[in-house]
Amino acid sequence: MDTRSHNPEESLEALLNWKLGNSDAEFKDEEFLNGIEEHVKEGNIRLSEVLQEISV
Amino acid sequence: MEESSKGSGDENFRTRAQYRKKLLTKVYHLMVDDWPEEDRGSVQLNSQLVTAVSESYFKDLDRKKEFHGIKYADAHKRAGYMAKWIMRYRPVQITSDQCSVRALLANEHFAILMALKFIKVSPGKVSVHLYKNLLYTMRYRHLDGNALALAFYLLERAARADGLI
Repeated sequence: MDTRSHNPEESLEALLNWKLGNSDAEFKDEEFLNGIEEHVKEGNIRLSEVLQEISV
Repeated sequence: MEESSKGSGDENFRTRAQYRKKLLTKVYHLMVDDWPEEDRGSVQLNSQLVTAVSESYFKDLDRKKEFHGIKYADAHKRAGYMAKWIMRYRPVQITSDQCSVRALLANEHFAILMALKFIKVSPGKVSVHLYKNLLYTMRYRHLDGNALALAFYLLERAARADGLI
């Protein structure tokens, strides 16, 4: 157990300034479009497979 | 086109929204071009609604970025917020009253395709079972952007997992 004393102002500041640091890079259209045909084709295959499962 | 809110004004916002609309339109056409003709003929992309999706997405995400002091949104936030707005506006419109389930699920599928591309997860890596659950979630669960972002974050982590996620 952490028994150190805490400065409440510092604690609050730490909480308010808490960032996950997951921030991503700048979005670029060309990166998004890279491989998009293959991506959509694979998605359509998955959709067809799901449709086979849920067809009555 | 970058997603930065730097220098954001009406013009910057409109430009970003127009570029994102172009992406959405391209993905839509790739999606339906691969469909059987009868399904392709049962749906149509409504340009006005795609604009609404794109503009709402940026307004929503810009507000979040400003509040949290974020420069660039994470991929999973882009995924979650885009899926949210596609499901709210449903830009793929049904043009027939005798269409297939594929056409009826067009918006759900479209939202998932976009979201998975944002998080760089190939649909081929998603099991049929999980894909079915995603479709169902999009269809019947009215989730907000944060909940969807969390779902796509977990999916992104799981897809790259090599040990602990």
